[in-house]
Amino acid sequence: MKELLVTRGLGLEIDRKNIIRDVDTSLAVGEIKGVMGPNGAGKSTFLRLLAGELCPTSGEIALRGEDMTSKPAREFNKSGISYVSQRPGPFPDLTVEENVRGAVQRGSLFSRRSVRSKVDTLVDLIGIQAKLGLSARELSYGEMRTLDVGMALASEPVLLLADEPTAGVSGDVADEIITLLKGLCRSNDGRRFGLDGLIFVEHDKGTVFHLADRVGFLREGRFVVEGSPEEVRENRAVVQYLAEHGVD
Amino acid sequence: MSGGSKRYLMKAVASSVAVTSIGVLPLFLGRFQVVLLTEVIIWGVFALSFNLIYGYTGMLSFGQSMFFGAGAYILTYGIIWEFGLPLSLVMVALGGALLGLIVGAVAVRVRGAKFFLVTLVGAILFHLIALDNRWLTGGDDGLLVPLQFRGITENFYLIYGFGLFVGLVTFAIVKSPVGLVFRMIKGDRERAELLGYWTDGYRILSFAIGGAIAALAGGLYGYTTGFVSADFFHWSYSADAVVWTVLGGSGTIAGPFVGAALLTFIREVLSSTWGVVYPVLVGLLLVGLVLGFPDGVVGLLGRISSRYSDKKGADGG
Ligand SMILES: Nc1ncnc2c1ncn2[C@@H]1O[C@H](COP(=O)(O)OP(=O)(O)OP(=O)(O)O)[C@@H](O)[C@H]1O
Ligand SMILES: [Mg+2]
Repeated sequence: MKELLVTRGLGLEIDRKNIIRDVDTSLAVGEIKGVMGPNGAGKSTFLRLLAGELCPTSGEIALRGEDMTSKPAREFNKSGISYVSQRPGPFPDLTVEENVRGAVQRGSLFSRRSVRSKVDTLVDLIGIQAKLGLSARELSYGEMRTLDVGMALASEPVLLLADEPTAGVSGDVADEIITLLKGLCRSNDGRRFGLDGLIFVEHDKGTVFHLADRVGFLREGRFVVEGSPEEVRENRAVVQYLAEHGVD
Repeated sequence: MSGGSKRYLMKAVASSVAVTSIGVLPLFLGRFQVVLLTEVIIWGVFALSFNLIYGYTGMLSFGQSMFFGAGAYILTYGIIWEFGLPLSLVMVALGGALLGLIVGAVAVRVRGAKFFLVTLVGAILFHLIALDNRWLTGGDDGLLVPLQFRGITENFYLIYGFGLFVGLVTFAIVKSPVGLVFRMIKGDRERAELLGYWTDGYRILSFAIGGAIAALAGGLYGYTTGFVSADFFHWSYSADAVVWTVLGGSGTIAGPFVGAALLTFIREVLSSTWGVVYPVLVGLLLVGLVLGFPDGVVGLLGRISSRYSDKKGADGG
């Protein structure tokens, strides 16, 4: 199977604390991976490493065989990795339209026409037409998260990393976001903004087991178990965790 | 018409009216006031250069006096070496941009609050160097700008035209794709980086453009007064630019001009006690601004006018 993303011995140590320990994992082309685990397990930190926002203190990250490890965050984006952080990220003082355009224009700063058409396509895709003129701070939480996803897609990434994109978002909007992400991965036959891979962090086990091809259970900075949803669901550590924290 | 474009139109009309009224003002003013008005425009341009770096790109720089002084001297030598005014001004802009690139490239390496200190130290250093190198700058005694002065009204219209030009160019820049990146960096630099932008490059570019504009202000000030000295590098010019911009409204084109005009007016009214009053006033203003209306006079007017038009909309509908 062709690998999209591979990590080898990935670790992050801050103040002598090992936040991520020796993680070997991979994502196949076309695969959706869900990451779950208790609060403070290191899920966000793991994604931030993969997004290039943090630099690992050990190990390496490769995207389609290309070593990314010591590159700055912007190079991750240019190589095709996009990231939705856990905290909502639209620029609050810019309008929704400016937020989308700012994310879209990066690769083609001065070709107004192509920026315009891509903004329109993206705005259609995330369904935020009615809010274009508002400043991002006026959006509801769910709209902000939707805009986050749209902005992450703007660079037409191959791999999307999403940190709890639906946490705190009301049911309908959360469903829309999940459906959108799923659609972009499942029918990526040349479709615009289609994805070759998705890694998402999620607390809600229903969402994880429904959306993911493979699930990883992270605890204290390492994957206790990784595998198909069925395998992971039966793992003792996971069973215990879900019994204590499971939402359903 | 949508609310956005309606507001846009209102802004355009208001700006045109303001710009035109300033243009006809000399017809009704005495010589002294025309000189003051000319100075206000130069200070407005100078503050605008800081506004690009701070109000649009989010970098609190104290380094504008470096560009101001450099611009004044480049113009002076341009005139001394008989390049003529237009070519000298081009040299001033290019020199300011180049200096901005260099200063910016050093400053953006420094993170956080130290950034402010580094630009302040740079400004002080430039002043000391200018004082020490009398052979070049004339030190305290300065140099005369050897030119035939055009007359007060004619000079006003030269500066007025220039202020208008710089204002329009700056407007075009901040509305351009590059200006959008500046504003993204101001909002959240790390996020802009995650979206693929080389933010340090854009920050240096902002410095270069701000450097060119500040240098032009310095050059025009030297041209207007017919005299330059090492004092043109004094860091207090940087402080003035900060105060004018923050008072008038950062992140707007009109703000720096409004701030410069307001403070010049207050200075004239309080002339004899100004030396004591200014520092206190500045302190109070800054506290008031930060606590009360962070986007300055222009922001306040904008908020009042949008509240007014919102109300109208509600009444009508
Ligand atoms: N910059 C940092 N410096 C020191 N410790 C950090 C830093 N960032 C995260 N940590 C610690 O690393 C651990 C993992 O944090 P992380 O945010 O990755 O957890 P998480 O699994 O995403 O939790 P949550 O479910 O609450 O989002 C926590 O103990 C946190 O306190
Ligand atoms: Mg987290």
